[in-house]
Amino acid sequence: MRVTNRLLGILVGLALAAAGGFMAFETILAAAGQPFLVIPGRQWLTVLRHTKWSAATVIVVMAVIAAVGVVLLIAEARRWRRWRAPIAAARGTAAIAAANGTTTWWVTRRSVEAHLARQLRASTDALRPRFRLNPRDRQWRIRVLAGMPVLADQDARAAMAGQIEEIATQVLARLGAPGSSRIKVRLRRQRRAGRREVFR
Amino acid sequence: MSDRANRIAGAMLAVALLAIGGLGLSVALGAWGHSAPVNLVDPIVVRWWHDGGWKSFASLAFIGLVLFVLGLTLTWAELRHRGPSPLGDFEASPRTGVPEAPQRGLTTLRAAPLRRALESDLRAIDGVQRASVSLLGGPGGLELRAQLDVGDRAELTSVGDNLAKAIERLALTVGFGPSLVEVTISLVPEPDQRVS
Repeated sequence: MRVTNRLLGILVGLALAAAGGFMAFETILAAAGQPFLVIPGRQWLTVLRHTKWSAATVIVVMAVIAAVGVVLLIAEARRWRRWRAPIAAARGTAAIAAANGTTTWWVTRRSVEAHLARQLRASTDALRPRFRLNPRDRQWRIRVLAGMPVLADQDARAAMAGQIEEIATQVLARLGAPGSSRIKVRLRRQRRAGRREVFR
Repeated sequence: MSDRANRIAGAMLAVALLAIGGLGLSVALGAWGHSAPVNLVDPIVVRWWHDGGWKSFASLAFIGLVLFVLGLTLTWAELRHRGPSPLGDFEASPRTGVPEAPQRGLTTLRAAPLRRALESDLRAIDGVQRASVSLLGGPGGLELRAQLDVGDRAELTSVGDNLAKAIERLALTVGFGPSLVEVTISLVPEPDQRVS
């Protein structure tokens, strides 16, 4: 969202500058009695003067504008997941800090999610494991969604869930994540090979 | 702009869009009754425009200029570099406590080779597959930002120890160490895990 927001800022800025520039330029031309140069101003004016507010096109355009506003407002208001999370200092950090100044260590969120999935694939029979990490200051929250063979019974499910939790806990401990991290595992029977499961 | 400022700007844009769309929908759906205009550009507006004469043109041109400046300001704010600037070439001061240190002449240190040397030093650490370093600020307050791709099986404490040693070597070379070190690691598959 950080990058999206920045791109949005650039796009809106350029659009405003272009619209404002054309508006000022064409207005000055019109004031001097010259015809519009870049935009077909007269045609647009004629259309706007003869289009009713109740026209279907107007309703659709206004509804789309309002809907974009709602979606953008929700996206800006909700809490974003961090792109990187602070991790406990490695041993060398103390030496650097003592000699010079402050040292901070971070790990990128996506790389941790991918790392967890690789660890799980390497050690269990989980199918298409997907991790969703939400690293907060005092607690990392991890949601795991993994597939398992259709014929697996309840005991096998419980065993696999336990295995997944154990692996995730080990990885978090190795990274120095907060001790109170929460891991939520969801297993699904894989109905078909190649079926893509997503978080809901 | 900072993330927070971007969020506020995005929320303001969202509220503006919501207001325009909502108001437009309410007019289009007849919520305002007979007092609402019938056409998008109402004859009353056209009459105001003609009555205004040159002031109408001046007002519209002014609004256009304000939008133009606002747009450029927003774009510039998004594109401009924030935070300390990259370390440039600088003159090394003689190290204290070294009797044979030269008292005359100047030694200029180039920032780019220093950065490349540190990157190469970091890449040599066991488990580090890629290293990218930024040296920011100046001799008075050097900031070091490193991005490391670290293999799945790498020992992070060992990476930390070796990083500390690499920074000590850098400090020994240039005569001062960074006051702020920020290390961002990405966990990546080991080369033998990759599917080609």
